[in-house]
Amino acid sequence: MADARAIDPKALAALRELSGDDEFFAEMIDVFIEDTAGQLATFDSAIARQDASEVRRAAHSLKSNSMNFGASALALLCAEMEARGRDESIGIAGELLGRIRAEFEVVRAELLAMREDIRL
Amino acid sequence: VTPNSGSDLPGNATNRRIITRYAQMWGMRPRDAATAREALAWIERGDPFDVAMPEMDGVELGREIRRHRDAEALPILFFSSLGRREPGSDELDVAAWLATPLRASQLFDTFTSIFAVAVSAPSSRQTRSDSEWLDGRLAEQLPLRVLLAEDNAVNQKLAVRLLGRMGYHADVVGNGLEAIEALERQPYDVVLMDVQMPEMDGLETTRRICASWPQTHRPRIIAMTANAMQGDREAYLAAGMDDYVVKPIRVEELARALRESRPLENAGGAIDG
Repeated sequence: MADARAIDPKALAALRELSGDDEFFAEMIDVFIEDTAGQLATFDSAIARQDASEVRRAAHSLKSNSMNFGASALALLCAEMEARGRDESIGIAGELLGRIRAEFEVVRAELLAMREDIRL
Repeated sequence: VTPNSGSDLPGNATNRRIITRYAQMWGMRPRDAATAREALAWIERGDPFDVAMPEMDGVELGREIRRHRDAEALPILFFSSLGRREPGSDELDVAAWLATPLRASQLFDTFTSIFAVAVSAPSSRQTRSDSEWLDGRLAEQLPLRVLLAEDNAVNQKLAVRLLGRMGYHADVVGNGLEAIEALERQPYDVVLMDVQMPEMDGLETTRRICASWPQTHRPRIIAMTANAMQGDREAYLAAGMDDYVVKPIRVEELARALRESRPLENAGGAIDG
């Protein structure tokens, strides 16, 4: 079955269960969203000064976070960015960064809706 | 999808890369064969796999695989453009047909349904539910001083939480230099070591720990990593790491790694020498 959602509900449910209580789960969502803002800013500055290793590090971190939340498409985009950082081929990474931003907006909206649902 | 499952994947390089990435993301340990012959050599010598995904010369390879393992022992997944069934494949008892281009949700659902069947089969290994690991008793049975070296705020928070629910209070540092400073201040039985950290990464930190402390006096070092391909694992072991857990962290896997750890006998008096 095709699934248009940016977040795999099973993975997110697993994270919620691991969290133990919904207050902590809501905190995890907040930390993820805050952290991602920092990583997106890092992408901007690191791509501007062609710092491939910084791009790689930020991409790896965001990939890892996305996987925790079941945001598979976002994780794949980050894996692509991480590979470009590793290959030092970030010359045209701006377009990919645009896709990462767009995907994160969808992920963020779904997470905030989830947060709303559990009323925290 | 079980954490230890592997899959072997001969075929076109792009599809292999895509599947490898997805599989790793879901905590599987894929092994990627460039040729049918290589895949078959692994099967023949008895390497364990939970699923096989042949592409190039798929039917022929499938037939060879079936000479060694039946459908229960090794489900076969085929992928082809439009998910068309290859002629001659009926006898192979194929678990699923996937259409290329591969989509994450489709692949995920297929893996889940295959392993859901495998888990309910009587031959499957016994698994405990997450909540059983999270009752805090593990730390009672096995007290360990745990240092967590992780720079990523989300992973840090989650790992501390999971350890806490197992009954462990972990000290937390954000990079390798801080990890070494912490070890100089007090002994730890286990270091959960993120591989990619700023300042000093997990591999370099591990090399320094191994150079500075004799084996009997140093903690067990467990890598935490999103990269668990064969070459990566070898690099971790070569650096001196003792074990690794794949991110996103699973309770069962973390508990397994901790249960294989022991308190250092020379320090802290946690157990009798």
